[in-house]
Amino acid sequence: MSRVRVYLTPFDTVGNFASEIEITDDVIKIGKLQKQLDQTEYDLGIFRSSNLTITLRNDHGHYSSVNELTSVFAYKRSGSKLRITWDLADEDLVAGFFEAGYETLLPDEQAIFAGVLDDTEIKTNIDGQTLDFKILGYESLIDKAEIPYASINNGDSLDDVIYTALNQSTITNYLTVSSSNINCDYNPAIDDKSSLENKTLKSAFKDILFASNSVLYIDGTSVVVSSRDPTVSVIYTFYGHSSETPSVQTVIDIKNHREGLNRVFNHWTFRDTALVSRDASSIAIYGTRTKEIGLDIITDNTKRGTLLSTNVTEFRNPKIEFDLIAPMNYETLALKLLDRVRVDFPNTFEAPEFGVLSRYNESLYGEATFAIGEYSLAIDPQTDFKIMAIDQDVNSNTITFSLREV
Amino acid sequence: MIVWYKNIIDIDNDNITMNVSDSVATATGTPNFVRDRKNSTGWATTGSSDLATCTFAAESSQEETFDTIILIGHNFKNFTIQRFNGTIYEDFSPAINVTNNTATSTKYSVASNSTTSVKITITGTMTADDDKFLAQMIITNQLYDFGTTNQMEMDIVLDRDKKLTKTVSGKYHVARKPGGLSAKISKKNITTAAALAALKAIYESNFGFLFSFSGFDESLFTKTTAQFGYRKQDIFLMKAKTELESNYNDSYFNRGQDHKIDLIEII
Repeated sequence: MSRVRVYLTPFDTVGNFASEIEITDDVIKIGKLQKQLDQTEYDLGIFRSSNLTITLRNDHGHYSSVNELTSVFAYKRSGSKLRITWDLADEDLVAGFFEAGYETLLPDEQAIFAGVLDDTEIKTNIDGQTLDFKILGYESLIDKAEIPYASINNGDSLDDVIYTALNQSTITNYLTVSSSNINCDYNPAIDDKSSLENKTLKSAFKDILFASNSVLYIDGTSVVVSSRDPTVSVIYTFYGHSSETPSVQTVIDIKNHREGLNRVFNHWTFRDTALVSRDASSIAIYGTRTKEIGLDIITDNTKRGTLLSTNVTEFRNPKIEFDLIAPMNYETLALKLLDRVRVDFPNTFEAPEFGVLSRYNESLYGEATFAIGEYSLAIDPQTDFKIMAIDQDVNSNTITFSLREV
Repeated sequence: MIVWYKNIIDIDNDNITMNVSDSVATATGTPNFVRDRKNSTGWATTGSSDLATCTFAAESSQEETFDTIILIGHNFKNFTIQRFNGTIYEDFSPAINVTNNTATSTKYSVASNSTTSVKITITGTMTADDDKFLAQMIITNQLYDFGTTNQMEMDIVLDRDKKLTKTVSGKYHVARKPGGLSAKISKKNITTAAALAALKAIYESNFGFLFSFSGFDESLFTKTTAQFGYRKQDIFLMKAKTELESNYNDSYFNRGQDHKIDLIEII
């Protein structure tokens, strides 16, 4: 069960957005949909936008370049909006035309991805008359806009700088930019704006976000800058097959479980200065694991020191990380980056050889045998995790959540 | 083989609450364990006795329609099961008033009815004054009883997804998972319309169906006792892995249809 639909909003002849059209019937393949924060396996502060590849049939020429007669693109292809939705129901229900007495799923179309076409990586396959489009998440827009240098002043807070940089038509034509959604973890006033001149938003934000221990992501159609803190309350709990809470199993698989030492950084320095912030306890256990930040717009050493100490607090201790694969449904689709979740995945116990699992009122001490346990991995249901990345696979109807211990 | 719809009070139905009352017990257990599809968990009282009036009710926020109640892994000797008519609890048709029961898994077929609550009242256990326990409670509708006329050929496997690793000594290390049931059912030349409709529903299911491969009847096993997969307590929530194939026997349209379905246990 479930159905995926794809919608395209091209430009009209004068460069305004035309009406949205559904192109689902032309979709041959959809790659995995990825959303993630700023980390690779061994590093931080690597800004990455969500993206996917979509293959469309093009024997009718509807997705050919602007100059082609049958093309739906009247102005340009790059920048056209594309939206993907998911619906649990296989088909739309029309009153009087579905069989009573059988299982019926009410349709509820939900958006799971929105982005823009990227013309630079279009590939055409003559043999199959298909086109491969790269669709970039809206985060990619920040690499197409320049810092509005004249609008930024020394003394502006980092929040103000980010808001001013985002509040331009290149971004606001696609996304909602609100100052209430811009909240860096550490928000000092900038001292010297000169290094921002002629920079794209991406190259400027890379340093600003990393140094201020903040992340940028898209929530629906809104740009959000926040600390790395997860939500206050637990939004969802995943249950394994041996959970002691009566529950349906929602953990399909757990992969790449790590203790987190790969992302321990307990010795932070500021580029071209002697400033350093270190955590002695972490160094005593794990050795010196160093990271350097630089932020030319901050020249005051007190502020620089706070930037360093904010980061060492965040990364001084190892935090468990793993990828959890769950079924795709409305509950798991509603989960967002930085949501606080739990995973109830205890050890599994089996009945001993020639015996039964001990049961209250049936098994007697001295007669019954201990169960056989599988101890290689257990996750405490009282441990909180936050979502760092989301991969949606509409082909297998699964979602992979990259989780990091809070 | 009997096939039922998914348990109305399955653990993933958020409209269900369970209510337990016992006038003697010091603790009344975790009733939701009877909804979790596992025979290895269940509800049990602590400190109850046959003096207690013990009631165990499944309540829904909306009316549910059903014709079958199944209790798996229990020790109830004397008990009744009733439905709520909006004002009081009353008997089903036929009434379920059981005395001197010795079977640990029992099934009751009732006239199709709608209600918001089903209540079990337990007044005695198989061993006198024992604590009450129940592994699973299933409230459902029957899709089809294939009986003997349409008895399917069956091939049942408990797939533990074993992973073999050869060690340096040459011996093997075997890792395995709790497992899920898979089954192949097949029959040629099916002519009964109701059976064909049931098979189509199985192919097309969104939520899965509950399967009892022995038809909940262990008396059929005259040479051996019913083994795993065929015992009364072996009821599995399954879906078809194979696609719907609509083929007539040897392609003669004046014959019945041949069907072969691979079933897999689902979460």
